[in-house]
Amino acid sequence: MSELQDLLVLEHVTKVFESREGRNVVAVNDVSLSIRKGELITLLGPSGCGKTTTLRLIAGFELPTRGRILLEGQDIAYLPPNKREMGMVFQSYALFPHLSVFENIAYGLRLRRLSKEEIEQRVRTFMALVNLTGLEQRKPAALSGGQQQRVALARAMAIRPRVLLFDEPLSNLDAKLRVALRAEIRQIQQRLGITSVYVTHDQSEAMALSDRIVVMNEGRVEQVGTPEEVYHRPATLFVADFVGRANFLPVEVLQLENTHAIVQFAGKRLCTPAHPDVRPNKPAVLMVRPEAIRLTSHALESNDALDGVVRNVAFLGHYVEYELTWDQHVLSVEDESLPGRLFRQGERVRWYFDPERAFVLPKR
Amino acid sequence: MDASLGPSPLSRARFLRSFTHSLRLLLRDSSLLIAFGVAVAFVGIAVLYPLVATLSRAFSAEGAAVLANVLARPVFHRIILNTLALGLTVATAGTLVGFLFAWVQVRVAAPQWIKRFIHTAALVPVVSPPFAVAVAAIVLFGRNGLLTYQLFGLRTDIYGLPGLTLVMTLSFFTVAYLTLRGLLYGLDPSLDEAAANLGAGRWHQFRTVTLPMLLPGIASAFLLLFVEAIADLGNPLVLGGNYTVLATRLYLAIIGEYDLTAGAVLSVLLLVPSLALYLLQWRLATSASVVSITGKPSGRGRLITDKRATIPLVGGALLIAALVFLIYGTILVGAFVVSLGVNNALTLRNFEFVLVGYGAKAIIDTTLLSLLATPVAALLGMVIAFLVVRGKFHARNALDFGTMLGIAVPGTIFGIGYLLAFNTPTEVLGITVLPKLTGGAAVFGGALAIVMVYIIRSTPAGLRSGVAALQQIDPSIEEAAVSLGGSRPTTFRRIVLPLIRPAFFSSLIYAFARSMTTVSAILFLTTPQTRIMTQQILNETDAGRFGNAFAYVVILIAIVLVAIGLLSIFVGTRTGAEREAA
Amino acid sequence: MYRKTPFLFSAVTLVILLAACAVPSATQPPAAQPPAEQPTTPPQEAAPTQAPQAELPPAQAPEKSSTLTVLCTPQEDWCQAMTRAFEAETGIKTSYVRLSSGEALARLRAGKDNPEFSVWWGGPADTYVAAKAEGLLEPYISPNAAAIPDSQKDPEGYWTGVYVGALGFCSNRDVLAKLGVEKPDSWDDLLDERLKGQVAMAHPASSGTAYTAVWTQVVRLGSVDAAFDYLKKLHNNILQYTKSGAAPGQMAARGEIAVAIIFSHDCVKFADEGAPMLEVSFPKEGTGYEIGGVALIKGAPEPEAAKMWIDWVLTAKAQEIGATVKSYQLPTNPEAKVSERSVKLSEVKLVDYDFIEAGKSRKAITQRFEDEITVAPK
Repeated sequence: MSELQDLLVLEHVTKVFESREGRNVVAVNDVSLSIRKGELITLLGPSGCGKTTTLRLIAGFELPTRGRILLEGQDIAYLPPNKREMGMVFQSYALFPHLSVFENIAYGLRLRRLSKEEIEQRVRTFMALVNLTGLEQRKPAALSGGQQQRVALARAMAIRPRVLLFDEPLSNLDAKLRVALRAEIRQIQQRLGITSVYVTHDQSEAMALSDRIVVMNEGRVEQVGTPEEVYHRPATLFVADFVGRANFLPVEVLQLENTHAIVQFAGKRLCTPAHPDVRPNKPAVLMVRPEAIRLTSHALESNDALDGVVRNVAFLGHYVEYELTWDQHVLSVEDESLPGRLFRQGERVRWYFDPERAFVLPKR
Repeated sequence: MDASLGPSPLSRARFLRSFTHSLRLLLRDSSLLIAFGVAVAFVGIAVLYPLVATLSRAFSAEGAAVLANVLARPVFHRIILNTLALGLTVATAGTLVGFLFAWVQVRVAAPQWIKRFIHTAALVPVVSPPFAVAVAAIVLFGRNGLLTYQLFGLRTDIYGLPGLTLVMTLSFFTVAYLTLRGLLYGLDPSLDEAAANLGAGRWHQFRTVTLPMLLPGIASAFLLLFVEAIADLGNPLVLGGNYTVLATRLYLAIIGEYDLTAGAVLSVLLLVPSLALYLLQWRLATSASVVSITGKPSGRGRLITDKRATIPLVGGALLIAALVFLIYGTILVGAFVVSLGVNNALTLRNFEFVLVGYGAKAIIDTTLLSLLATPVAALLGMVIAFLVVRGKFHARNALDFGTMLGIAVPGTIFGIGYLLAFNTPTEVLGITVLPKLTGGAAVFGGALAIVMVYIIRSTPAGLRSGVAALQQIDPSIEEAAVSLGGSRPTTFRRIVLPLIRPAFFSSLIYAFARSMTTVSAILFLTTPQTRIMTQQILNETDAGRFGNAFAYVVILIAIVLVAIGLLSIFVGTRTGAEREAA
Repeated sequence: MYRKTPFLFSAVTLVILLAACAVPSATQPPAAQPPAEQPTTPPQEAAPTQAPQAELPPAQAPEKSSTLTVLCTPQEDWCQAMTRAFEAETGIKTSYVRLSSGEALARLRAGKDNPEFSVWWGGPADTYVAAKAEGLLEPYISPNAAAIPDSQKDPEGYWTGVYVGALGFCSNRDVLAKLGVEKPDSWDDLLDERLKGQVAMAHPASSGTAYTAVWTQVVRLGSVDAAFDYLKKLHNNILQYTKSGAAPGQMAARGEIAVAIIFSHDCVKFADEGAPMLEVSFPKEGTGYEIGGVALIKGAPEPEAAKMWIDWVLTAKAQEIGATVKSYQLPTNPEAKVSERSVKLSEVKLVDYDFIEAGKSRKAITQRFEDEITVAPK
């Protein structure tokens, strides 16, 4: 096995669910992944994309139809979940309602027959880690959502698992709490260095937390990469559209130049970064993120700018969202928010973008 | 804060104010007032008055003398011990069987047909008189039983505690099964997964996570079965042998001696544990509903597939289910045979006896009276449910409890209570308020009393299902309807009622089945003019004419099934049509 | 529409209740009602129970009752046959309720103020004696009672004998053969160890048959204590005490026990009805017997019909109906034809059974039975 820290490897894992009427659902379709030791990798995608099923396969609650799952080189596909030494934080927290916070966290430790003192110490340590000291004797029903989530986290970590699994743990919390807790989770994970697999449908959460993101769609992996790679260099149109928002402009590819391509757009020739599969004379689109589009008022003349009309304005405080109509297209624009600089609905504006910030993808 | 003794003038005033406020609310809403009046009148007359009559006779001077007599004689100590022992064994066995069935249904991987078989077996006892099993048991497992002696050559004594336990377990475990099944379905499967994830094997999971959470529900089922067992009269009469319990001794006191005072005293002895345990299980049942509290359950529950576990579990459940079907099969066969086990010649004489003359009268009377009681009970249940859930007045819980007494109190006690209360016309301040309702010269030949008893025994179930259905309806739905301009009765009719219609129809079915199979409560209330099937079955059994008894049971079950079938068709087409029209 | 329904229901119920209120005041007899001094006087004596015809709708009690409610103690089919025959003969619509004698007595007690039955037919005389003592019966000396022997009727006319039956042993010969026991012909035979759990009789509190059996012990052994000694010993062999008197015979027929202590006519009936392995025998020390009675119930709602019934059941013809439904009790009317299946009293030793004494002691004996016998360990 490689010296490098490939802790968890999925090789061509497929999971097919048979429904009673005989129709089969392929939830996970030939997924291969290598997860490195100490990293937090997120499975991201819309509902039904197979991310939760993949997580459950790793946890052992489902058996793969095909493929192998290797943990530190060993095939664990048929290892029962209680023997995998993984900790899981459930979407519904799954706290034992009849046990106190202390007993919940100690549950796995008692199973491992640690001494009373050790259990005591470890529980207190992890409770302190998640800032819950003082609530040992409470029952879960007497805790707030955020507190329950932290107990779930402490409980999963206390057994010192090899891998920590998160199944959309923040989706039941309100927005502000979500942001606060995700930072905490990330801090703790990095501090302890536990390899973690995180599942979410919220792409900003995925990008904020992860070392790497696995974007999934309909059971398949669309892209594996760092948040930056996934955001700026999406591998497919799906990724481009799912992660963040994007404008797709029609272009013609003229020629390739290394990492870039010369494209024809709106009568002009641009040199922009290009997806490796882009080919001349093959259908392609130009992805321009809303924040990359600059607006000027009609007065300022610029040969590279195009004309557009403001269709919709949404003032969001730290930036302004515009919808522009241009040549039968509707563009999303995020413009900086300055006092006095607010275009009105129906106003004509000129817009342009830096080609370096765009990205041309094959249109498949 | 000054330490005042007793309620401060301020809080007393507040209470008074809120009470008068409730009263004014009531008066303002005339429909609510009428509903309230009807409910209170019903509970007061049909439930509380007979109980009060029994209690006052038991605690009178003569009652005290009888009580002293009872407590002194060792035979009564034995009877009380017998009663408690019976309750314990039946509750334990019934809960275990119910748990096994529920577990197999919800947690074990098994073919669908097996699950349906087991489920049906559990529901069959509901449509039959409770002691039908006892009669079949004598034929199958008695001294000369088809199974025990004729097949295996064993001379077993089916009479007494072991036989009673077997028979009553099979007759009553349905409640435990349904309760536990509901609980198991409601358990969050991710709790088991969390336990497994933390390292717990299947058995450890069961012991430390599943079982503790089911405990309140199990205890509730246990207590409910205990109360049913000690309240039952039919089975101990048929199969008790010399094993006398309070219910049978009570029966003897009335039927054998017409000693109403002794009956009242024995009733109180039976009432105290029944009521206490019923209240206890009520508390437990409500706390058992809070099973999982966090977020939305995720994932599906995993079924047990390990053959080492599934085979014994499913096998056990199948065996018991097969036993149930065997027993009812015996009843069916026995109805068409001269004397099953002794003379197996086919005959229609049993049916002839049952369908001609007095038998026919009993069948018609019972069915008619049940049909009369059924809609009233279901409707009353809905009305009281509405009052309890939506009405904002103090007496809500009292009304709820008063109605539930109809089923919490053993039927025999109502029998005695009705005799005490209604054997003579009821007078209030010299004015005859109610005529003589029981006994031969009673009005309608005593049929009204029987209908009343049917109603009070069936309404509690309707109340509970109505409450459950209403609680699921967001009050803001009604508020929306009202804001759009509807009055309360209109809202009730067009919005609430359609939403609780399923609960109403299931109450109808339950009320009919229950009324047809009631025995303990009506044994003292039959008259020459009004004959009830369950009593006739008891008579035939007592006289040893099992063929006739079986024929009666077959007809009774057939009637109940037909009624359920008709009602289901009616419900099916109606709601189906409504769905189409929507 | 729907909301009004509970209102409607309650309104309807109220109306029904109110309507019903109006009815009883007409049918309830005045509290103090002088019993008719001479049983054979014409209807007017009984008038206080019935309002004059003119003032009441015909459905209310007319001078000559068109219905009759009988409290019937013997087997159901005999009750049916008798009531049908009476109805055919007189046109009076007759119905009955079948209750064993203890239950019948209790039922009469229950209906004391407002009897639901007019006449009581069948069941051992000691219960009638008890009923007479409690003031539940009304004397009526039927003209046909003259034919009945004095020993078989109440001298004051409170009840009259309609049949006689002898208590005996009803044994299943197949079971006896398997146990290797001979057919019992003495009370002591029943104490045989090999018959453990193989004997049955009814409970004296609810069954007249069983009470007869118990009192027979008192008479033949000389004292109540001696009787209870015997009963305690017998208890070891008893499988159970049934509620109805003849049920032990059914148990023997089904092969559940070897010997049932019941009236011999019941045994013969069961044997004829499909249990040919049953055999009758009598204890040589002497056995008890019953005189089945008939009596007019005090405050009867249909006294005229009741008297007609009493007259009729004392006739030879009526007493022969029993045999047609396999009820082989001996008729009391000497003119009646005796079925050959009936017991021949000359072949049986009868004890000197004092009905009065038996009736008086009933409550005490049954209570003692309950205290000492039913709970005794086996």
